Order: sequence, then structure tokens, then C-alpha cells
Amino acid sequence: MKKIAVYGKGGIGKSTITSSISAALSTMGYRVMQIGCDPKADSTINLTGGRPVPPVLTKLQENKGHASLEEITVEGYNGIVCIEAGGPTPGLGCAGRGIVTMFDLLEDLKAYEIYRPDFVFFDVLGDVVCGGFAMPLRSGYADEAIIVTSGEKMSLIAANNIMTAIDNFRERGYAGLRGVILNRRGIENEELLVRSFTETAGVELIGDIPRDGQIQTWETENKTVIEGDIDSSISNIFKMLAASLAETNEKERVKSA
Amino acid sequence: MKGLLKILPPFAPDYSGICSVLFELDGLVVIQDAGGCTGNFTCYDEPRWFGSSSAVFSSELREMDAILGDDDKFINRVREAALKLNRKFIAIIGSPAPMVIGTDYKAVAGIIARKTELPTLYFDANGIETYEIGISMANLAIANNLLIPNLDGERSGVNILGATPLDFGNGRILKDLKDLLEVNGCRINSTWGMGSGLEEVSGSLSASLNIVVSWSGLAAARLMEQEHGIPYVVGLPAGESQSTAFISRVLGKKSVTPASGYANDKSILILGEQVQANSMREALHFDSDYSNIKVASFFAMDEDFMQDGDVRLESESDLRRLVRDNSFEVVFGDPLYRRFFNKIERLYYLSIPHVAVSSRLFWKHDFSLIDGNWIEKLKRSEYLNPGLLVEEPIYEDLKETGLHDLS
Repeated sequence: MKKIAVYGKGGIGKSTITSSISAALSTMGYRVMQIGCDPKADSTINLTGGRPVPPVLTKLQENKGHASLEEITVEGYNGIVCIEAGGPTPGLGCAGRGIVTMFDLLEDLKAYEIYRPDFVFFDVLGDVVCGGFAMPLRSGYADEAIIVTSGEKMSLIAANNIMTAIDNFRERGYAGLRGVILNRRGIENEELLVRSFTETAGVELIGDIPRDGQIQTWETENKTVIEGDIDSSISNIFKMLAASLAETNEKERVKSA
Repeated sequence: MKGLLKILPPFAPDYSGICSVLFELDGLVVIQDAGGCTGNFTCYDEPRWFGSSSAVFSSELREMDAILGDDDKFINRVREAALKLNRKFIAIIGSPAPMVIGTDYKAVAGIIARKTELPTLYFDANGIETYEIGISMANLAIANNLLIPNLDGERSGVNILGATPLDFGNGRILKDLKDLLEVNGCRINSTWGMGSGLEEVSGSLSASLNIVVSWSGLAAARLMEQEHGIPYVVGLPAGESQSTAFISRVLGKKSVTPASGYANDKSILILGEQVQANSMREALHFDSDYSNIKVASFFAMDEDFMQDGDVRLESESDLRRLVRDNSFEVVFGDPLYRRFFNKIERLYYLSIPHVAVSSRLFWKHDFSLIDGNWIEKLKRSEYLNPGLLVEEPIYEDLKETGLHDLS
């Protein structure tokens, strides 16, 4: 099992990219679980055909602190297990603490042992703003982190903040950084800007997602491009990215064996 | 709001249970709190604190430390204290504030262990769970981390698991247990949580039996049976016949259960820690003719040791319902539970202080389970004053506090 946390500036396309990678891996025969760590609870909407996933924190509140796996999971495209943390009413409560509570519950319910996924993706809200949002990076949770960024200045600043956090956590045995995915916004010299950033930081650029109208077209139908048109050029890019993650995982598995 | 206590004071929390188990083990015990949680433990939950040299500290977590997640300050303070004090291990314990900000104790303990080169235990306590959960966590941590392998394979003697002043107050019940074991030629290797230092406790794998004296010792006993093949017996000696049966179980001899005679169906409630309450029920069965006895507790109960009609109470309203739905005539319980029975006109109430409930109010009081006087008193009272309200002496203390009369 490989657990990957996906970080990046808000609105940069983390959920879209994560869902597309999840979908691509599922078509390759892997069992995948995607966990949305965002109060908006919309990470997996394109995997479930728009069917809402009951947010874990809402269920816990309704059931006075209890919830079963059946109540908090929805089986999405190609058997992908979809979970959403949910969170507090905007402006109230503590979303970070909510993530901690969800992770504790998944552990108590033995979610990973029961579903036995090959890949788990944590789609994390924006930046590592506090302890709760660093939870997926903790020892025993994600094995590695991926940062999604565009070439825009604010996105690169957010990516840099996330890298700093991951670096600070090294002493704690937290997840390391697997690499950066460029999600193009069509700005000038975008590839150059991001390549320069990754080279300076000493991290690998593991994916380059071009702007493609098909992504938005299929999203209006609550689908990923993989589900919508698996043979399209943009789907092929996601499949290649998924294959590279799977290949790395397989190499590591063989090495550790 | 179901768990809101309107009449009873807050029960001893999980961190107090953990500190209590570690109290005599010469560790550096640090609660990550602003000071109130540590103060709660030292002033209200720990009779041994006064005059002791045990190293239980507060990290003095401040608002800005929590907001900014300044774990380094905590780590460095613990490191400095460890350098100054010659302790054998470190334990860091959570409390409500770090729980809310999701402090990663595992990571922090790892860093402290590397910086101090001392074994560092961590406890994700939150101050919301009650004391017995903390005792159980600490006993499991001992079983998992502090036991020395029994290399020669020879096994003899017993360990006592699940004891702390939170259940055993001044220790009279434990002393009676130990005396009984020794009189019967049974050597005591260690008493976890109350009476043994680290050396004795860490040598526990040389024992041939664990005696579990409260629910809090069960998880560690089960782990030690599973991983080290040490069997366990659950219970405490109470009254003459039950004590004989108990020691027979400890010694692995067959015991003859006294035949119960005429059944007195007077409705009895034992309100307290499950293992102690069960032993009392057994004693009443053996040494009297009472047969209609329920056990209820605000604290964890193991299903394997529950009988039909036993109740795990989750709120004061659960206790009110239990009292309303049953016509209890005899009740054994902490003095502070007395008020729930005020409307019952004909009641025999024997107060047995439970430190986790009434804290220091009655912790000086002696109560012996083994001598059976509590059974004799009940029988005598019924003979002399059938159907009359009887208050046992300790209730006079309660009257002095005024706590019985709040309305």
C-alpha cells in the first residue's frame, strides 16, 4: 500500500488531478482509496458521478461520536473508495482538528486493513496551515507528499511553504516529498518558471498537465477525463503519470522485499 | 450534553490514571498542559503526592505556544529537566489543549528519546476520557516497553495488575490481598502502580501468574498472556468464603463453591469499579443469602465479567433511571452517589469511598473487603432494624461537607 498526500495552493487543481490519477490507477487494476481532507467535502465529486459522500465529521456529529465504514464511504468510479472529512461551519470550529479526528476514526475502524487499497490519496486543503493539515504527513499516514503548482507566483510561494514544512518535519520521521506536478495555467514561460523552482529546491518534476478543455467538459458531468474519454490525449497524460507512480511503487516494493 | 455532570464532581481523568501508574517508577513524567491538569492530579487525585519526591511536572503550555505550535520549547524543557534529574525514563502525557491542536506525541517522544538517550513513552491522553482508560494505557505501555525478558525461563510468584490509589485509596484492600497471598505461600513479584519500583515492575515476566485487581489491569494481563504465556486471575478477596475460593483460584486448586442457602431477594446495588464490585457480589452470594445483586459503574466494564442486569452508566440520568426502575434496598457505593438515593425511604447505604469519584474528601478512610465486616453489618442491621434506614459512619463525613444536601 502506498499512501500519498497531495498539497498545493487552494484552487490549483489538486482534487481534479488527484481524482484523475486515482481513476487512471483504478483502470490499471489497482485498488484505490481517495480521502478528501477539506471542509468543502468535494474532493471526490468527479469519482462518484456527483453522488455526495457523507462527510465523516457530519456523521460523527449526527451519531454522537460514532460512525461505521459503511456510513462514511461511497464506492466511486471503478471501485475507488471515496471518503470526505468535511468540516465545521465556515468561520467556526477547527477544520484542522477535524482532520485529526477523521484520521483517528479511520484507524479505529481499520479502514486500510479492511479495504486493503494499493494506493491511498489524501487530497489536502491548500497549505500546511496548522497541525491538523500536517496530519496526513505524520509517521504512519502518508508515505510521501506531492505538491501541485502552476507557474503563478502565489502558487509557487505556497509550494515553497509546503516544502519548508515537509523539511521541518524531517526530524519527526514524517513523509518526504515525492515531487511536484505542474498544472499549467497558460502563463508565459510557465514550464521554465516551475523547472527553475524545482531545480533550485532539488525536487523532481514528476508531472506536467497541460490546459485542456476536456477536463472542464467532463467535470460538468461529474466525471474525470479518464471516465469520460479514456483514450483522449489528456487521459493518456494522466495514465502515464499514474503508471510512473505505480512503477516507482513497484520498484520500492521489490527493493524492500 | 449527555455526559454533563450536574451533581457529581468531574471524575478523575485519563492523565491522572497514567500519572498514578507511573508515580513510583522513577520516571520524568510531564503533562503537556498549562498547569491545571497537573495540579488536578497532584492536589486531588494522588494521595501519595504530599511529601513524595516523584517527578511529575507540567510543561506550562502557554497560549502562544499552542497557537504557534512551539513543540521545540516543550522538547527543550523536557531535555533540560532530564539532564538535571537522574531519571530512568521519560513519559509525556497529553491534555485537552494539545489534543485540540493535534499535537503529535509520537513524533515529539521520538525527538526527546534521541536528544536524551532515555526511553520515552508517550500517551495521547485528552482529559476527556476517565481515569481507568489512562491506567489501562499506562499498564499497556509498561507491558509493551518496560518489561525485561525472562531469560532463564523460571517462573514463580505473582504480579498484581490494575492497582492505583484512584481505586484503592490508602491501600488497605491491597494490603489485605498481599497478606492473604503471603500467608498462602505466594510470593509477590510486583504490584504495578502501587508499591513497586521500576526494577520490580520490569521483572514481571518472571512471575507465573498475574492477578488483575481492576478493569484497568485487564488489557495488560491479556497482552502478557498472549505474548508471554502468563495466565491471569481476576478478582479481590472479599469476606471469608469468597477469599478461600479466590486463593484457591490463585493457587490453581479446585475450590468448592459454598452452597447458597435460602435466597433473600432484597434488591442490592453495588456501584463502583467492576472487579471490586464483582468480588463483593461474589462474597455476598457466598457469605449471605442475598441473591438479587446488580453491579453498575460510571467507568469501563468488561463484557466478559458482566452479569444480566449489570449496567455501564454513561450519565447521571442513567443512574437516575436505574434507581427509578429498581427498588433498591441496599446500596454500596461512594458517599457522593448517596444523593441519588435520597428519595428511597428504606435504604441501607454503605459508603465505600472511591478516590476517582470523591477525590480527597474521604481518601483517608479505611475499608476492608476481606474481613467481611461489611457483610456482617448488613446482616445485623437487617436483623435488628428490618426495613429501617441505616447510614454507615462515613456518611457523617459527607454531612460535614454539605454535599449530600445539594438540591
